[in-house]
Amino acid sequence: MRRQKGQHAEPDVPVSSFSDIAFLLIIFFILATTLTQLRGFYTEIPAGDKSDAPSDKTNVVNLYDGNISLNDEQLSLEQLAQKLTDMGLRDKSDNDKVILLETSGEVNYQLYYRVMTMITNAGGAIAMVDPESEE
Amino acid sequence: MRKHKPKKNKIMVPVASMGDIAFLLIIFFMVCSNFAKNNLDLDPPTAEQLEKLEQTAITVGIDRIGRIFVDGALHPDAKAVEQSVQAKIEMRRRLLSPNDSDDKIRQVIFRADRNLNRDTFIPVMAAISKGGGIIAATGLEGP
Repeated sequence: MRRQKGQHAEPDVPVSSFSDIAFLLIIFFILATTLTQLRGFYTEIPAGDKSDAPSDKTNVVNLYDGNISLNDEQLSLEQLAQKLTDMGLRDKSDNDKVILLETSGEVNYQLYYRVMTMITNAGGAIAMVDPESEE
Repeated sequence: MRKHKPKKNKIMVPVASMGDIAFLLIIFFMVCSNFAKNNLDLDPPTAEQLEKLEQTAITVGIDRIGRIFVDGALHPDAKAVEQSVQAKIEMRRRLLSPNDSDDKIRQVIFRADRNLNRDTFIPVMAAISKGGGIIAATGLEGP
């Protein structure tokens, strides 16, 4: 007796749910995505103690208990920004661009950040004094 | 004589390409996504005239209670941050293409709470510098 060849059914990959999966993934990525752009400034800070200061001519910004002074002259934030702009730091040599940023007493990051932004925007290079190295 | 009602054609919505569109959208969102490495509990500082920063960098953050994180991993002190930053920069130097600038390789995104005192954030910033990093200090645009 001759055996009849069984008809092979074409294998079917179930794809009907693919679009549902895809839309679930889209929802996940929409929720997980942060399209906000980071803003701030770049600075390369040479860390050191006071003895590392480049020279006596170096401009010193001192922050102490919420007050600001530039070369021992007490200023407001707006006055400091103006003074830094007037210095023409962008056109100076690398050594003369350096502004030593000192702190004492209670100084929060908000004030420090604003002063760093001002120095950077004026074309200066920040040299910070690490309180741990002072001790 | 009875009138024959005209047969209404069924409206077909072409759905065959929906899956393709969906996958294209997935690819778009995957490319645009920046998964937060460390969603820190902090209040960022504000300043004017901030520039746009790239986010392809090492991230160092200090939250509002002064805990230090490097790429989401808790670090005990500034010394540990220095070692970690140094190691990560070395690794990036080996992994990234020679066409990438050294400045880009050394970028360290720095985030800290605006109310932190100087004893907390300055040693960490100094540690980043000692570790060879270029600080990209993030904040919000504002007065």
